[in-house]
Amino acid sequence: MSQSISISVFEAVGSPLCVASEDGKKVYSRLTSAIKQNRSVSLSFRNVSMLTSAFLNTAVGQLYGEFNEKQIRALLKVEDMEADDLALLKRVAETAKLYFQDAQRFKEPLNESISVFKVVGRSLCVASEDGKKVYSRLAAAIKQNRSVWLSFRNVSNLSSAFLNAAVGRLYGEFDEKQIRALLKVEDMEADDLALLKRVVETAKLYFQDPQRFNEIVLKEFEDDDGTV
Amino acid sequence: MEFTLPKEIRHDEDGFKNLVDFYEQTKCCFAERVEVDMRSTFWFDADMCAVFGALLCRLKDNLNLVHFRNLSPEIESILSKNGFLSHYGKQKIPDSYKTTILYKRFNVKDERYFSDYVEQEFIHRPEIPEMTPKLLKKMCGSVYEIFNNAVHHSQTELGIFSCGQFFPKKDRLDFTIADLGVGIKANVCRYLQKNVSAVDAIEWAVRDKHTTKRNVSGGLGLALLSEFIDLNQGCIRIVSDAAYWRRQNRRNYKVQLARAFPGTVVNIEINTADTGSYGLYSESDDGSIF
Repeated sequence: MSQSISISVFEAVGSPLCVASEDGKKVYSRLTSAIKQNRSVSLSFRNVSMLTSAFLNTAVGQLYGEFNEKQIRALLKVEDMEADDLALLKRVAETAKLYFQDAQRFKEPLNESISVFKVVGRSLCVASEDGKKVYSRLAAAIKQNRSVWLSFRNVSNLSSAFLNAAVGRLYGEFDEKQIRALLKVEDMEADDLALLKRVVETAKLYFQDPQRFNEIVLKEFEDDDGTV
Repeated sequence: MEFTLPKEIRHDEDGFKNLVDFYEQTKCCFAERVEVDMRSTFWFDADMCAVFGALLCRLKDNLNLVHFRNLSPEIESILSKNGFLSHYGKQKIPDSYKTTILYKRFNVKDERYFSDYVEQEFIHRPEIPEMTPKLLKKMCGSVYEIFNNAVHHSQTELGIFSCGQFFPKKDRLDFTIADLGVGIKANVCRYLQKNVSAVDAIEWAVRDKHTTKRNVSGGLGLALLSEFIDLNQGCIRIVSDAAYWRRQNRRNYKVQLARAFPGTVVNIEINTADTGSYGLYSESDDGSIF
């Protein structure tokens, strides 16, 4: 087996500031040469101090237009990257995968937005019954693979029960990746967003293994007062 | 031709309307002497030099001669310190408080030069308010994202204009980038092949994964910027064509302007006292990238 090729982003660009998409092309051309020959590549970000989505999109994102995901995953590795830059790269890669799977879907209409306030009919969103109304709209959109913006504008109060019925239940029906790719929220206060994140985390855990989840909850309850 | 600037030029809705009025009244001038009278103007947000400079550059491109009259000493001082008035025959004066961020004009091919500017103006300046390394990195990243947007979408030949100012006592830093390109509306309408309003076009463009580039993925720049501003509790303002759009406290405000700005302006206001850690959404995911 041939040895892995190491590509230094810093050397390819000639600067620690990797911000221009033109510079991204220099990295892209090296990566494509290696992948075309089925060579493993180690892409090093050592000494790179700044990255932008435009640079990473040209350098790495465009690979998904030329090679398939499996091939890229098998041959390309990155190293010497800080956690936040890694997160940015991951987002660029996810966007590129989605784009090259179905470029047309990115031309979605402008108003693919569901207003929680309008669906529920009031600003107080606390009852799980109301949450179900939102859920059915979201589920319909996700089934049709449509991107949705869930707007919380004019919503004054939210409960975990409402959010669980509206959003949490989605994880029982759809794949996490699909939800992440299609569903976005907007116009949410920081504390409501924190509550939603918690609801989502709990739902993910639950739907991964409901039995195990119940066991853990019961165990915690037992630990608390020893009566169950 | 004489134009009297109003009392205030701030980076808010009225400030942009005032500069759009200036553009409307002067846009037909050719080979004239344009006198800008500032006798009534008592406030000029320094970062708005990027917008004003872009409009004046267009006038000069049409062979007009631009002159300023009756500048208040305070405004003359700040616009001299940030190098704006150097473009109009005045001498640059030292910035003793070191709170200005230089006014500059770039060509669309100047991405490397712009990087140097950001390094000089933000990173290698001890007088910049003390920020956490994460915040400084995110802020510079945001500035690059705005510039990249102008480079890739404006199709301008007149250049990209930038300027900023920071306010140490208020823990705020304002930075504005303006171009005289085709604008967001034209790009989005062409891409979607339908007519949308200037306001809807901005709403479309700031959403995650939405890009008007063809045959390539992208569309993260403005979405990342909005996410950062939300976490930082700052503010972002976009003016393009006949739309004014603002995001602050996780809420969008948008309004259709009576007249159009001939390009795009993006202004960010950063809370420099922020000590947030800035995890992007995907940081909590599993380790796989590709």
